[in-house]
Amino acid sequence: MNYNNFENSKGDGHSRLPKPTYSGTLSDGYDESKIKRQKTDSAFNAAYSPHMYPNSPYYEGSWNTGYTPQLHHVAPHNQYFHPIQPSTQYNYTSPPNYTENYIPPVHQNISYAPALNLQKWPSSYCENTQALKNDKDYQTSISYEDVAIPTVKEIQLIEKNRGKDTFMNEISPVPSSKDQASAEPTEIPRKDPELANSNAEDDHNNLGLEDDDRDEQLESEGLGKVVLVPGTSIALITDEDVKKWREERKKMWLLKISNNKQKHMQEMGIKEDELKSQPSIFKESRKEKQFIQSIQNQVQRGNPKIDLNLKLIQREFANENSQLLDFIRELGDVGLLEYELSQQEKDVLFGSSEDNNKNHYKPNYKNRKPNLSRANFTRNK
Amino acid sequence: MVSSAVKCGICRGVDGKYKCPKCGVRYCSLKCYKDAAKHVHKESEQPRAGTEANVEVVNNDKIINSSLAMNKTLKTKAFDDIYQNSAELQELLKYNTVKFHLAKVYRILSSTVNDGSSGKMNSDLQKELAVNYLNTLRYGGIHYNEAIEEFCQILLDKLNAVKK
Repeated sequence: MNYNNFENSKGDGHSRLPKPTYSGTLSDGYDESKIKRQKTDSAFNAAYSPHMYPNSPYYEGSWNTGYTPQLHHVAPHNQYFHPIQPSTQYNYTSPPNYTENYIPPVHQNISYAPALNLQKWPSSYCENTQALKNDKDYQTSISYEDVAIPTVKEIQLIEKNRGKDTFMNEISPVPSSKDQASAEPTEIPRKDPELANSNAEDDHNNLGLEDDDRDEQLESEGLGKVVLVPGTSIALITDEDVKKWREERKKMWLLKISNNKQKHMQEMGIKEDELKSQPSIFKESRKEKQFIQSIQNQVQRGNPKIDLNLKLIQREFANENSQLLDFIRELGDVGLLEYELSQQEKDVLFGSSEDNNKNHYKPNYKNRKPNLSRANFTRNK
Repeated sequence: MVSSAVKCGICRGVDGKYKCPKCGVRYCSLKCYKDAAKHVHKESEQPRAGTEANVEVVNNDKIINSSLAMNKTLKTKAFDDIYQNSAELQELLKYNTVKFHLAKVYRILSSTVNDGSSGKMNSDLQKELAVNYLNTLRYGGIHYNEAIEEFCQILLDKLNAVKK
């Protein structure tokens, strides 16, 4: 109670004092509003003054103690209260005692208290709220915008950092004034579609690059791989080769399997002579492969009783043989190496091979004819 | 033996199962083969003795080979000159045994077989294999053959002479 009254008294004092006391603390507008309210307070005081009189002794004791330091302030209040008539009457009743003189201002204060409380506090709240709306509310709203916008901006900045860096320089993350705050929300949706388009373009570019890479890989794979028919050196590269190969396989397969071979041959228009003249590819390749393998085995198999001298001689022979190969190749190309072995010659060849086999045990270093060959001649005779 | 629709050339009644190695006539049995009246060799007279037969065979071979030699020429001029001028090489090439072995060497050089899974054989590998195979036929090798050795030596002498 005292606290409230004390504040009210101070408020009244401040409101009633001249300008120099106000300049340091409050604005002019605030003072003007308070001056207007004093008039309303005076009206209330006139209405309630007769009711407050019986309570004067109780309030005198409490208020005297409270208002002793405010003696200097009371004097100017009297100046302001001169137009009120009841106040003059109280002054006449108690002229000799100053304490008694102070009663009417106390009563006035008491009469003011509830009115001021009822009016001033809500009015102060209203003023404060209005002031906030006018000044502080914008700051708070701006602060909310500051709090809310960076979350959105951060996401956008992340996107921008991924794509482009120029947007970073153009946009400032923190707004410095209301105008920028108002402008930014309009700017953001404008730039979003551009970002979306740029992102879409980037995606398209990436997809194109990936497709190109895949095509290149396929081309490289196709070029690198040359598929050979297993068991042969035939390579099926063009489509025509593939078609021919398929047709030939179908024919040969049918002929191989069918029980009515002649019928199928007639249907397909194949003659026996053609079949005989065309040897099978697989057989030929197999024969050649076996031939090469047999020769490799013969070459790798060395003479068990070979000496270092023979190795040296054979090395010289190898150097000489390289010169002879060209001549032998040309003989073969012309056809001078074609032969038909007679039975007699075959026996001789095989016999000579037997002699060579026996030479493993008795090598003929002196270049003499072996005795065993004579036995072969006797057999032939 | 080989079954075919050809009839016997001598009795002309039964299918000819065999072939005469000299004249190439089809015959059905030993009886027809020994029939002196009908079975007459076109290219030569009836064999009377072993020695005469051998001589005739040699003569035939010579005739055939000489005809071949006259017709054919080698690609390279130097090699052709060597071949035409040297009677010894021509004489050696008449023997089938020599041709047999040299034909193998030729087959190695002209083969197109895949060497394992690494693809076709390289020409260097073919040459190396041919050289090694010739070593087996020459002095100190497993399949030593006098005729081949002689052939190689004569040819080397000729080539060296040409180079000089």
